[in-house]
This record gives sequence, C-alpha cells and structure tokens, in this order.
Amino acid sequence: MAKSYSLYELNEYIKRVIALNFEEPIWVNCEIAQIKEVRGNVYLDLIHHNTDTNEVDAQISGAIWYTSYLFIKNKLGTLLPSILAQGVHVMIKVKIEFNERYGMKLLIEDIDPNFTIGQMEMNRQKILTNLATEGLINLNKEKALPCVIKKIAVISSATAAGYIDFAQHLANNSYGYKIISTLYTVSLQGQNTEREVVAAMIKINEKADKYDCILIIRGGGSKLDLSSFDSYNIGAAIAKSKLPVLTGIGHDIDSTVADVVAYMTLKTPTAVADFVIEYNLNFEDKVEETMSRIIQVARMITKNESNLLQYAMQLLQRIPVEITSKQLIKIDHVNLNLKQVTKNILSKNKETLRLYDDTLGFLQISNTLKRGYVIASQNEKILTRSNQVESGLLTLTFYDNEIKTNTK
Amino acid sequence: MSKNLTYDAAYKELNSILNDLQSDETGLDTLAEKLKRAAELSSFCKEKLREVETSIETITNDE
Repeated sequence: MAKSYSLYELNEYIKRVIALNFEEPIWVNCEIAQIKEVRGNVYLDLIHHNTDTNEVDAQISGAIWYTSYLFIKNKLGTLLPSILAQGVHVMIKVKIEFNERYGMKLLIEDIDPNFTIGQMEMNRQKILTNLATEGLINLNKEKALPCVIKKIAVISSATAAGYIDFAQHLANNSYGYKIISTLYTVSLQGQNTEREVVAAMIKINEKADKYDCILIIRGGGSKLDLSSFDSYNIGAAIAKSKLPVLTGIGHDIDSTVADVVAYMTLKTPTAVADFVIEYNLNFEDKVEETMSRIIQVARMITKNESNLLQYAMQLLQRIPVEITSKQLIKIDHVNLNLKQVTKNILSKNKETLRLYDDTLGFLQISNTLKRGYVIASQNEKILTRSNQVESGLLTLTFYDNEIKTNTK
Repeated sequence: MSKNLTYDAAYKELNSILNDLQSDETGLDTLAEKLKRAAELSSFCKEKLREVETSIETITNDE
C-alpha cells in the first residue's frame, strides 16, 4: 500500500509550501464579487473574468482583518464605500495565507485607489464610446423643454443633502413660482443605483405627459462616489427618455456618463433649482415684454385711427359747407339771370304792346273815317256834342285830309 | 345704429360718404341725410376707440 498522509499533514505541507513561496505580500488586481462586514472584519469573494468569454475563470476568498481595515479606512477616507463595493475592480496588497482548517485566503493589507479610479475612467470611456456608436450621446439634447417648467420628476433620495437643498431652493424661490416636483427615490451610491435609476426612468417615462422634465439630483461626492452614474444602462435610459433630463449630480471637474448624455448638466442640485427658476423667469420676462409691445402697438393703432377719424370728420364738416355755398352761388346766379331776363322780356313786351296799341288805335279810327265819318276838334280836343263848339277855328279831320274852318 | 356694426365697417362707410361728397355726386337732397349718418358713424367710431383706449389703460394698470 502506498504511503499516505493525514489531511492535516497534507494541509500543513501545503501551508509550508505557500509560506515558502509567498514570503512577502504581493499586489493583485481583481474584482470584488461579494463583500460583507462581520464584527469589524471584512470578508470578500474575489474573482477574475476571462477577457474573451467574460466568464469567471478565477476565484478566491479574501479578508480584511480589523487592524488592516482601520488602516485602509483611514487611507481611503470618503473613497472607501466606493472602492470596497461589489463589482469594483481593485488593486490589493495581499498576504497569501493557507490555514489547515479554513483553506486558502488572501489577507488584504492595503488598497491602491488609483487603480480603481483608472479602471473606472477606462470603463467610463468605453461606455461613452458605445453610446456614441449607437448615436445616443446627443439624443436627449434634441428634446425640448416647454416654455415653462411646472411639473418635474426628481430622481434622488429624500435624505440626500443635495435633494433637501434643491427642494428648499425651489420652494422658496423669490418669484413665487409653484413648481410641482415628484420624487422618485433611488439609492444614489452603490450596486443598486444603476438598477433603481433605470427603473425610475422607465416609470417616469410611462407617464411622460405628466412631467415637463426629469431631474437627477445628488449631493456632492468624490469621483468614485459618482461612478454609479458611469453606467451604460443609465446613459442609454437618459438618452432614450421622452423628456429632457437635467442632472445635478454634484461634481467638480469630470462629467459622469449620465451628465454627458443628459439634456443639460449643472454642477450642483442648487444650480438645477436656480436653472428651473430662471428658465421660468425668462419666460415671464418675455411675456411681459411682448405684452408691453402689444400695448404700444395698440396705442399706436388707436391713435392713428383717431387721427384718421378726426381728419375724415374735418373734411366732412367742411365739404357740406362748400357744397351749400356753391349751390347758393349757383342759385344767386340763376336769380340774377332770372331778374335780368324777366326785365328784358317785360320791357320788350311793353314796347311791342305800345306799338300794337298805337297801330290798333289808328287802324280803328281810319276805318271809321273811310266810311264818311269826320272828327271835329277844337283846340286839340275832340268834340263829341254840339254844345261843345265854341267860336273860333274848328278842325275837321277826314280820312284823307284835315280842313280848318272858322265858326261864328 | 345696427348692433352688428363693426369699427371697420363704420369707418369704411364714413369714408365712402366722404368720397361721395368729394366727388360732387351728392345732391343737396341727400346731403343732410348723409351728414346725419356720418355723425352717427363718427360717434360710433369714437366710442369704439375710447373703449379700446380704456382697455389698454386697464391692462397697463394691472401690471
């Protein structure tokens, strides 16, 4: 029978082999698959993905003992929750330990945050490249805000300092604008952020007609804190949103993927509130400007109409006077003519009549004389009775001649 | 005065009366009648103008 060992002997041997080969701690890069803290110690599952198949091709347990954890906490400060999180690529300094009972474990003594930051930046660039290839980078920028922003859907967390600032700023605006904001609560950091933000985006877009725009708001934080927003899914959801998306994720220099694809990105939640208020103020100003222009034009029109009316009335008052005076002149003229003509006619008739009279008188007497009558006259008076005859010269008028004779 | 009369229509009629008078087409018989109509139209137009002016002032005062 071949020589055999007890399991303890085997494990003790392995432990010696490992201890001999890994005297010093070494730096390893890997991904945190799972992480949990138990009574001050941190336990992790570390994995490696095959770059071609993306399948897990290496896995090992890791731990950060209490003392190391204090050191790492102190070193990373606010970066800690972003780096020691599920799905994060880390560069860790590990001591390889093999325990006869518990097997192989990597004891983490140090973490290099720059590696993670670099990884995230690479990841961010990769996502941006993908979004650009799919034509999603500027898609949301083509959306339009309505004239006035009245109803907004806010993706944030009720307890986030940034959200509280934003809500107060919006509610206490000095113009008294009433903007209705509906909060869709999500976790703003960590592994759930991507899923929850995307879910909120879908939910809001289902009732897109109820909102004017979507705001994604988060307080300040380090670059790594914001890395949850360097997500392809969040980027694509923003790009494809029916409503314009405004971000106020709170960062100093670099933009997250969410910022790059958003309709508009503002530095802080307060800046988002300011933008909304100023956007509405700008509209109100324009309305007032238009209104005062309308009033100006209306005044001009009425003034012009009033002038035209006045002019027409002046003409109307003058023209009838002209017409009547013209008519009067005409009448006067006719009257004058009438008088003259009448006068002429009258005098002409008078003359004719007189001629007629003379002629008629003469004709009547001569006819009588022709028949043998004689007119006796004395002192140019016609004698009609015998007792009218006085002594003296008596004129006898015959048809053809006069005879003068003396009476006794 | 007709209730449906508009400012434009009134003003147009006023001008056509003016044109008639200017063109010497109006006889004296219709002159008085036309003048009466013109006076009516004119006061109607003025009233409308005043209404508009008042409403402009109301808008301005609201600000």
